[in-house]
Amino acid sequence: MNNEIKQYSDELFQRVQINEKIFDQKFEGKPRSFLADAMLRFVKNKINIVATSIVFVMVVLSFLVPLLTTRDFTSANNAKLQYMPPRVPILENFGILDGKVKVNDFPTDSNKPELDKEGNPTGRYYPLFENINKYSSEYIVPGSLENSESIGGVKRPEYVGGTNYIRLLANTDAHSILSPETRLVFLQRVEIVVDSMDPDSTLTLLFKPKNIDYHGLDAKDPASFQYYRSEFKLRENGEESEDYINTITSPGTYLFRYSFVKEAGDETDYNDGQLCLNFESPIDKARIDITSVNIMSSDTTVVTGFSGYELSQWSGQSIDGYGGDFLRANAIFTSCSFTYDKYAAIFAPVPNQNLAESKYLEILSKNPDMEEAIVYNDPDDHSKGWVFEGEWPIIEITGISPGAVGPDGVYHFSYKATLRGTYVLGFDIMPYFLFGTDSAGRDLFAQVWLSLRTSLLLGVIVSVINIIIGVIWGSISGYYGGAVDFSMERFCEYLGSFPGLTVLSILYLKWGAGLLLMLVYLTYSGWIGVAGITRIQFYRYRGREYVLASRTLGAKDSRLIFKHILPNGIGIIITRTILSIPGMILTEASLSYLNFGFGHGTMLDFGLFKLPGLSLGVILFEGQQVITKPGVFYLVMIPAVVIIILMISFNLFGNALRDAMNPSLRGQE
Amino acid sequence: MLRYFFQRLMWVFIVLVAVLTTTYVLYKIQPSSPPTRPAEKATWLKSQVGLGFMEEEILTRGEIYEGKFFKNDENIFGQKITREMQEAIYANYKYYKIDYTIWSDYDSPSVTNMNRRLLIYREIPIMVQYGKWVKNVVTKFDWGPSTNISINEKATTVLNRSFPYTIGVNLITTLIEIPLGLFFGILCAIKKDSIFDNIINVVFMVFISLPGFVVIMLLMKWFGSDHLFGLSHPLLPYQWQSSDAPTKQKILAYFIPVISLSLGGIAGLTRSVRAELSEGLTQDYVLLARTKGLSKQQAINRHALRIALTPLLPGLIFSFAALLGGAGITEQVYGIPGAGRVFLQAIQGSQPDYNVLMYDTALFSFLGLFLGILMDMSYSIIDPRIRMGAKNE
Repeated sequence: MNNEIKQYSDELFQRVQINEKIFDQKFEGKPRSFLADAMLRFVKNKINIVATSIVFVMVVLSFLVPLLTTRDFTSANNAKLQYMPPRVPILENFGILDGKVKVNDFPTDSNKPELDKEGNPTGRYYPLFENINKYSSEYIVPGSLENSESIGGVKRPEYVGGTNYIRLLANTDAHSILSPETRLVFLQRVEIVVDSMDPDSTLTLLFKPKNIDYHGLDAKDPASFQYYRSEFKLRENGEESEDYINTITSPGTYLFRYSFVKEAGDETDYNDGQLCLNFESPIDKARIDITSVNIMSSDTTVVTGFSGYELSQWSGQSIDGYGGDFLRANAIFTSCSFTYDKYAAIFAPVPNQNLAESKYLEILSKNPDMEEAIVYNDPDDHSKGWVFEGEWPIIEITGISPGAVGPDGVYHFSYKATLRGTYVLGFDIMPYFLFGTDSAGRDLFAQVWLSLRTSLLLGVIVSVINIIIGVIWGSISGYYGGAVDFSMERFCEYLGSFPGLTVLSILYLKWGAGLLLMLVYLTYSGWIGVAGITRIQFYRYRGREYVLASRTLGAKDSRLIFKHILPNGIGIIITRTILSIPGMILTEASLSYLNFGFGHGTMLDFGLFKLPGLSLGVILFEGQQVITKPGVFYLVMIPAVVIIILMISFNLFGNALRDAMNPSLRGQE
Repeated sequence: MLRYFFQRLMWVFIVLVAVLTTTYVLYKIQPSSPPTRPAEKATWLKSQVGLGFMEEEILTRGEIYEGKFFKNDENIFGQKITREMQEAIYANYKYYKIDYTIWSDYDSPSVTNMNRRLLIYREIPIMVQYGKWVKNVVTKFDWGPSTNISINEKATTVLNRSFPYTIGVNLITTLIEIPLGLFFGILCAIKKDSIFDNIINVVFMVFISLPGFVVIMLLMKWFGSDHLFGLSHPLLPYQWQSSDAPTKQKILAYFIPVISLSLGGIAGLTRSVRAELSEGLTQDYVLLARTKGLSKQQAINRHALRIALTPLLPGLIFSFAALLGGAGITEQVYGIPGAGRVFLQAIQGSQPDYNVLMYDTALFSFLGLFLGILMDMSYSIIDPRIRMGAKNE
């Protein structure tokens, strides 16, 4: 064996690159961090940008508006301002959101006809002034009033005219109706106008005295009619019948004269009582239509008239064997629709207010130019009052009330003044309620953003709690595996098996509605999802080589968990959590709607600080109570639109975030 | 397979027992809520004794007279047992620091003076009560009487009465959801990225984001209260119709709740069908089917659609379970006398109705768990590639 090592001299080698320094080559493109990459994918979709901006604007508004609302618009101290419709600057010039209410199908007042410029009636009528809906004709937008008529048979005064009819029941032959208590004096007349009646039937006119003596008979006995007064004489063409006639057998207009004869010694008053009409017919369900019943004096002027609504108020008498209905037909109901200027009505000048002299001087001193705007009604006699020209808190002084010398020895008196509505209600100028006001005069704009702040705050707090519990639980469960994992999983299953309403009932019975209930309800099983994701991340990564390598180098469990495995899952955990926030807001609103959450005046007590809270659910609930009233639909529509926009944009934002945080979508369109 | 099913079922019952026991204890530590009116309370106390939750001790007037409870009562023979006497006896019992409910038939007019008795009720320990309760439920399915919603009626009767409404509304909702969701989903997948697809996507995005109770409120306003298109009356009833309403009205009353419940479901189903099917359409086996000469229609029907619909059945079971639990607010708003509304009534009434709540809890958690099994099982039934409970080899 030749073990000789062959020797090569250095000269045989040629050194290359001896004068070159070798560096890592630079990447041609720029390196991108994970976040920058995610951002790039995020901004690619324009819809995401819009959604994100909306979410951002909403979050900012929800924190700024409650902070910047200087006057307390969320407490119920402005009852006079209830149901002010939304009014928005600029938009109001185009006729939308201008603080005017459209009212439809409102009853009219036949005593209030609309007049045109010359003072002639236009044939239309103004709405009825009710205690609840105070629609004054002054503030109806000119030209918007429209009337429409419908025919009905409702026994209400808004239904005018028509006839009232008696209809017998199928198995009875007669029915008797009584007027309200009235007075029918001797020789007065009773006029009955019958529109139509079935043949073979009779209508009998009787008078039931107030202190009627039945001589021992029961009032329900048909025989008791003999003690009613029936002495009427029929008058036709100025002629009077010889005999007593008090029956009608065919339609027409009949005039009777009340001419009873008192027996000697009878002290009873036969003038006070009730008119009684007794309808008899052998036909089944026979019917008679009565237009009017009038009591007239001897010169035929109507003393008491019953027609239409008044006649319908006559009541049926319960007599044995009698029975029928007294109904109304062909009455005309005039309804009107109009546009009402609610702001002008609420902020109308307030006349005849007593204004103490000191108060008057105070107003004057606050508005230095006010004194120059005075125009006296009579420059020689100041007691006749004066007017302030321009926009001042006081419109006009109409007089001076006599005063007295007070305990301080000074003469005190007060002015009679007409004050500007804005001043009386505590505003400088007519306010813009952007979203309107609710039933207690609270500003909806302030309330909506306050509610949103509550929801978002709750969402964030609950998310943080869920992440903390879920990550710890999932890490332990996923990292150790085996029996630990099994028992922890089973516990989650057990916790998740409680029906939501059961948990709600337990919390509600224990703590009542409020923050604590909401927090526990949203967290008791909310973290299970986070724990599940974390666990799966651990299952995926705990066996990887890099983890094993780290373990071989002596890393402790905590280092492996928090440094090596958990960061892999952080992106997906955060995205999932953000995606769960809209669901939480919805749950919060639903629970508050059902009266489990934050009502008006709730204080959220976080231990360190307190914050006022409210929920969109409560606003919606209150709106729903009055949803059928005219002109208050905005109370439902605005919170609904806000919640819908929030949900949509939050969902879009969350989806976009999920796609952006997913590196496997790199380079995909 | 069957073995797996029974294993799961066993587990369901273990969880159910755990849930019910926890709930039972948590309800028991709240203040109890017996009926307040005397006659109803007497019946309730009797039923508590019958169910074994209370012990009854009956004192006749003679026993009271014998001085069993009074040291020096001179003149009560022949008298009523008065309120003052009740108080005195109560104080006597209080002395031994035991909580008793004292009840007399003082208020009952049918009992003559001579036969008046004093009834003393004592609650037995909670652990024993729990045993009796389990026995009553298992042997007689007796969940105790209702104490608020329909006093002294069985809790089971009170709740069972409401099921036809809940199941009716939810079944119709599901039946409407499936065809519409499938239709839109398949159409969107086939015409992916067309204008139609984009419009449907946007509209259904809104549907998914719409809160159910907002939808029902708006529907009630527009269809139940407004006179749409100048009609003389609203299109649909504003409230749920009672059983004596005309049939037409009763049918019309289903519209608003069903629409409000199904909008989200249709949108969700459309999305999942679209996602599954559009993925399926790009698979190799569909391409192979086309190469073999099948028309596009056939390829979709026979190959893509079948695979795409695999996750649908479990999804439907899940959505039905979710509907059953989540329809409470719809029922509350529209006044449907369904299970969710009864649940809410039992919580929020003048006083809680524990027995109804317990029965409700049992039913809903059982349904949730059982439908969970069905959901898992259905995967393997419709997709033979998945074998449940098989060991990983």
